[in-house]
Amino acid sequence: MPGIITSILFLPMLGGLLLLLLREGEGRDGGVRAFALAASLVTFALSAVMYLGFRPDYAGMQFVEEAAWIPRFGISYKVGVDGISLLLVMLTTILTPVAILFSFDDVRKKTRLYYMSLLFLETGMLGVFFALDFFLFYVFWEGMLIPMYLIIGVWGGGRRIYAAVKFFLYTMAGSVLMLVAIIWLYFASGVGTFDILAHFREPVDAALQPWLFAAFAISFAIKVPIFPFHTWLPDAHVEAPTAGSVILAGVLLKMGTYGFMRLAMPLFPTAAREFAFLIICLALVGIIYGALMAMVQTDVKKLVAYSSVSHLGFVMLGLFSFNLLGASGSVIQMVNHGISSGALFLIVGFIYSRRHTRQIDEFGGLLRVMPVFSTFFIITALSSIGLPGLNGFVGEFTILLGAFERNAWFAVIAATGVVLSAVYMLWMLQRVLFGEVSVRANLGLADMNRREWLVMLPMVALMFWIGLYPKPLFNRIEPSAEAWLSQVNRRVLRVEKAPDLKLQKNALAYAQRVEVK
Amino acid sequence: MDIVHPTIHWGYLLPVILPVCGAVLVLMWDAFLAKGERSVIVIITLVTLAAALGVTLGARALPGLAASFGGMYLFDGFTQFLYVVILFASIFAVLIAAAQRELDETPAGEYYGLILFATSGMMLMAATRNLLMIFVGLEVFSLSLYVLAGYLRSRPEGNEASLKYFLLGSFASGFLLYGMALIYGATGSVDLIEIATRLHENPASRGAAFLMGLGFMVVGLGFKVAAAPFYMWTPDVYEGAPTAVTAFMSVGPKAAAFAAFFRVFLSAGDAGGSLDTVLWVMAVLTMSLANLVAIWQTCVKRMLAYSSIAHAGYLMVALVASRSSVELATSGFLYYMLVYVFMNMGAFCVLILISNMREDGGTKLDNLAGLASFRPGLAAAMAVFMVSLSGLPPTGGFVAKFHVFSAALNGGYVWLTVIAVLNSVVAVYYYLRLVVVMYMREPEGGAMSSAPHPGWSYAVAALVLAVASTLQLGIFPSSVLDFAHRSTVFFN
Repeated sequence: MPGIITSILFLPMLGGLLLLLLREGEGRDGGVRAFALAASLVTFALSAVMYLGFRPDYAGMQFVEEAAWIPRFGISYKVGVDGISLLLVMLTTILTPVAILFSFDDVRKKTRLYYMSLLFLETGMLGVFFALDFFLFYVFWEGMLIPMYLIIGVWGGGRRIYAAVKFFLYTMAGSVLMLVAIIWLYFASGVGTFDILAHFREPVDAALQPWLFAAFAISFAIKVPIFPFHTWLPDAHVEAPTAGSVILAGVLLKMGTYGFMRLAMPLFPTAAREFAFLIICLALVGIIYGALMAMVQTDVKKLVAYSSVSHLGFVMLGLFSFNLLGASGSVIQMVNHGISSGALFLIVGFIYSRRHTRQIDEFGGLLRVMPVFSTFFIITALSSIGLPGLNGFVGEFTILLGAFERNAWFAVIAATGVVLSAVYMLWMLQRVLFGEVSVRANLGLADMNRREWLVMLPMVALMFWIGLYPKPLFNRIEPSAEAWLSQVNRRVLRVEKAPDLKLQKNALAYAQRVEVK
Repeated sequence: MDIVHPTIHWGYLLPVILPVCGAVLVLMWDAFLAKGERSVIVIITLVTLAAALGVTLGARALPGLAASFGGMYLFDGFTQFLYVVILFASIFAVLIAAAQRELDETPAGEYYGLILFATSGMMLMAATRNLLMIFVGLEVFSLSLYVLAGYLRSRPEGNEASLKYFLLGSFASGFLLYGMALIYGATGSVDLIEIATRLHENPASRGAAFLMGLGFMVVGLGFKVAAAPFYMWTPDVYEGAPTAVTAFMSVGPKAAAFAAFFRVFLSAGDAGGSLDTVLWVMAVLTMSLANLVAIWQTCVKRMLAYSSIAHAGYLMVALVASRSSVELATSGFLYYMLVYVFMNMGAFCVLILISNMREDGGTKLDNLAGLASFRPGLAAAMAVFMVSLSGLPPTGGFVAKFHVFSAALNGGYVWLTVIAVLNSVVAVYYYLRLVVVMYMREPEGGAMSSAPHPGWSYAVAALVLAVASTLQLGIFPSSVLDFAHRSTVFFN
């Protein structure tokens, strides 16, 4: 399928540009909305074609496209997809139409600019996952900030400008350091290209690794966000419009963990090992801290935002466990968190659009008034907690196994986070859904309408699918995760002494596979 | 004594001759032929500049033919690229001046004549390896700019700007000339090639007199590029001058003065001693001070003045790196300069259109409130320029910064690069504040003049050119980058 990635990548942007030809204004936004939705759905369809054409048994990059861009610096337009990025791409192409569909009633002003921003944002996110060239990666990584900034700043809540600027400056501060590291790596390695895969083959000087790893890691840690770089997140989430929160939690945060996985760890494996303990500790702190913070929130949206800090701690824990279970669990957890927290933000959006408040004590007994809504809410919350049979369980359980393999204490502490997540979620459910209807205004609330059904159905379907039958996903992740692992461990063999036999086997298998291809 | 007839390559001189002829023609036209015919004068000026640009782009700089008048005039690759930069800056200055309401009542011939004279001065300063010609070029454009800065005679701010610029500028020129004299005294030549050879052959010439001369030249040139600590005049002059002139001043003189800076700095070589460190400190101070002060500005024009100082700081980074990484740093400087022309001129053009819309001609930050609601195209263009000035992809500003930072890292200046990138984070704050005001605030009341200015089509042409170039230099930079790299060759 030549050109499929380029089509998926630039179709949303093209759609966004074409929106300029349509009219907007009070009561005339139908065309803009429908066109934006159509553009995102076609993108999804194309990505589904790519998913079906993906060879699960092959670990390397697939559908690779390459074209010279700035040959003087060895910069090329190089894109491709492997088992790790495939699922994140799918997550993006699924969440974007959902976010657009949700916004139909939610966004009333400057609609054209809004949908343009969302579609440009989709191209930016997809670009980060597809890019196989540092320069290209960086262009998308930073370019995506501007539409997100607009989405928070123009269509957000009361303190939207503060939140938008904070989001922008935090992310930017991290990413400029990454830019310095990228250029430094380019000159230090002598590879003469910005091709990421070419840099994988060239070990980086061990003395340089900690510096470069730190620069990359800070940039990604802010995005994840890892404690203590998380302070922009609650603000951004609370102020962003619902669709913005869905995308932010669903996809944007994964760009950080994906960055660790795709760039920071395989490029600087020695340094990654050195920093592993520190990062795991921060991840564990994040898991517990996020959960405790979520517990005391009075605003549902803020609660969900803090739960993200906790859940993404699991992803980091899995990655830095340096084993197959941890790695593949992390990828699954990235997808799961995207679905669960995305759905939770949608649900918060549903009640907010009805009551214009998100305070927990404003609700109570909604189960009687809105039974369908409540059912969706319960399923989503349970998926977030990690109830077996739903998606959250698959990821967290695999990660805990991986962490246990590395150090039992890590798993024990992280498991506390699972328990705490049950506490804050169920407690919130109890206060919002169960009991008597405590506030009069809630008596007349309408249950889910057709559009809201349409928005929630794909999310819930995915929760059950991944929860009950995750095998197709694992099949696609595992070869790439194994290759990743041997990449991360390969150079450790040269630097450190006692190599683990199992890891060696993986490295061998990888080497053979590389030779065959 | 034999009289050697100097070698002159008239074809290479044409890009400078054209603006001078154009200036004379414009002055004559205004005085004798058709008084008050603004549009004809604008067209003549534009045609002259476009012709000069065409000749420049069509020319091929060749090693054997580069020097005319024994090196007083030098048309090498470096010159050629800077000609493009300076001519584009002038074209923009003409286009946006034609759309500025405040300039309507002023004499047209003199304005455009002075712009053309200034252009030729900048070009001469960029196109020489002779210290005296550097000074002549500098004075030619400075004198024109002193007048242009106070062109709105009835405005006290304009008079203040003009006087301040003139007094401090002549003081700085004095420093520059004194430095040149000292260098001549130490080495016995005013030709940079000759100076470099003598410094190499005769270590005695590297003494205190030479270093002092170099130091004085740094002061003089530092003043013209508005580098810390010699930038104090900039905000007031930029704010007081007519906006179109400010735009021109923020780009053209920088290109010319930095060109001389590069040539002198590279010629001094090892003999420059710790000049690297001095420039390092100046670069850091320039970037950091300008960015920190820019945050507090409420007047967009003044903010852009500080922003232009900050950009001088980024260009200083390229200068610092130019000795250890000549090709990357020089081409980075050239590319940055070209991008800067488009993004900065574009931003000033939007500013002119906004102040045209208002009765009071205001350029306050609040005057932009809610611009996206009633002038979405203008707001979008301004957003593109701000994104580019912040150095974010996918705009030319990003590629330019990337290039300069690459040069600095390649030259081993890691901490300088880190300081520069952190500065660009600070800068994002005030650039994006414009986006905040335009997109995230509601329009405020205030008297708006609805009738478009008769020269609006010039401004639209300028805006289209600026937006297209800013994006093109960011998304498909390769051909211009190659041009910049070809232009890093200094011919002797």
